[in-house]
Amino acid sequence: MKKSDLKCLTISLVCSFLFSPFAFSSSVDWAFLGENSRGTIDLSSRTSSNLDTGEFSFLHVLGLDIHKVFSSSSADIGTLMFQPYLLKLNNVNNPSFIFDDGNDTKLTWRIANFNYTALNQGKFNIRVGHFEVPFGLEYQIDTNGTLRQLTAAQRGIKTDWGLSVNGILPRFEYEVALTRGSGVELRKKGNPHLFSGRVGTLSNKNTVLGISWLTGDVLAANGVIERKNIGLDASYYYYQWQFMAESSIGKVAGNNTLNGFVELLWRNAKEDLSVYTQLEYQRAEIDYAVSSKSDSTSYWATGVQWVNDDGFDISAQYKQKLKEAEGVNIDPTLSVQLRYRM
Amino acid sequence: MVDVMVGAMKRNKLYGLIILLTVEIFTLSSAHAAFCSLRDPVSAIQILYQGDYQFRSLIATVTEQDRLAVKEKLPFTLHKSEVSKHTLYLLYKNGEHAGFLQARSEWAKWGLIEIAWAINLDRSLKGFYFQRCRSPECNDTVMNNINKHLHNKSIEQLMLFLSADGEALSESGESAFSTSPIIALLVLRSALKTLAITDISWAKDIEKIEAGY
Repeated sequence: MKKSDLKCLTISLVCSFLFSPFAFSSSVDWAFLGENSRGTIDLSSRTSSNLDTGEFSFLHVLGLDIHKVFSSSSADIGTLMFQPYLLKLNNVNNPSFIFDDGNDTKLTWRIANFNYTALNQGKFNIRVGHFEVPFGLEYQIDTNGTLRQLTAAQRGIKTDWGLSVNGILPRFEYEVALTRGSGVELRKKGNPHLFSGRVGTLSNKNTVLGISWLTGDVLAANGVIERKNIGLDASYYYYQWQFMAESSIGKVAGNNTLNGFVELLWRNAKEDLSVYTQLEYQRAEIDYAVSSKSDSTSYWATGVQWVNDDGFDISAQYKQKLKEAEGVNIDPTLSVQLRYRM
Repeated sequence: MVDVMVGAMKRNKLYGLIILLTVEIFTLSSAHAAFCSLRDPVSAIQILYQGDYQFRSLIATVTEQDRLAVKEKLPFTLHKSEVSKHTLYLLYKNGEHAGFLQARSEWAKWGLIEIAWAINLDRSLKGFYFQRCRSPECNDTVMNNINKHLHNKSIEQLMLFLSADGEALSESGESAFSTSPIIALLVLRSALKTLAITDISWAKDIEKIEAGY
């Protein structure tokens, strides 16, 4: 570990501790948001170590999480979600294309939308803004801001700007969205667009099944990429165990793809400690115009998360490749994150 | 000598700061689940209030004082982690207030059970629905059987199903819930806490509603 890395790690840890209690806890009064509102400040620092090269990278996050329900005298009208997050990268190799470089600082929108719920008792709502693309396991599990991630990376997009219809019925739930295809930022470059949706059984039950689809042009680092996917997901809960799986087939820029993901998670009875193991597999044609030859990438990851009643959260994850396709690089990585929500 | 003393004072300040930070971090109350994971208990409302009902959210803060007030009404109280904001749903039919619904969590030996409670206007129980229960024992048969015995019961009537310390079923409780006593005990404790905290934390709102404005 380099001296500068150690310094960065120390600063990030100290910032996590310092910022949380003193700066905001007693001074923030969310009453200014009016009735039926919740607010919190979300701070985290993450360090990832490439175990091959010994290099460290850092991600520091400061965000707001605001939730407000608007109501008339006898019914809710809708729910506003507002989550601006300031991200600071430090020494990150291959950052997402939304950043200028691996040391960039950027204001991003995690979730920011209004869900109009006054039409039919929650059975048919209209959402406008920035929200999670409804597809697969991501739809039912909130992984925003956590080391634990599910399958969004397989699709190259997790959240997007647009419009959706959504609802919950006694036996199933759904969301169908038409979005910009530009991801975190609302960009016109290449005129991306995306049509996606998921229909599934109720996500609070012990057995959950869903079918999802996605088709359109998604903005990526080198312009837009045509993507089509259709997937099945399943979750099963048994006491303290949770098993999840997702499989999808589709096309990326005309090349056939096959994706698979499984996860086994255990949490203690107090639900403040969870441990998980994931396995992910992706197979894709190299160039369909030349031949039907394909190559695959796979990795496994394991992680642990501890959350206390006061909003303090420590998590760690180790990720290791099983197989790399040509041109894909998955380094063995150990990540540790400290997070505090107040 | 002076340098040594100054150094010691600086070290003490640093230790003091570290201790203070640690205490602060582990004692502050907050909400640790991201709000985008919050979902209205829509399916529970649809199942417990069948027909053309609308609902309105009423978010209130359950305080430490409220926890103590529950302890005065019942032989047990809420977990300290429940001191935070919670939502009571007001149900309306044809513009008229028709009842309440509140989703509450209860600790089981395998984790949290989340139960949605439908409450009548007189604050007796209408029924419940397992929003989240990771045990296969929380099935429709068990739910219907327990619901049958709880329907339209008040706090006082529900207390008769429990022992004096609230930690076990009473004789009448054991006889009513002989097929699923463990789940029934959890559900009964949740019912009592729900009714008690509704009257305490939403007292002013309920007063206004009952006064007709």
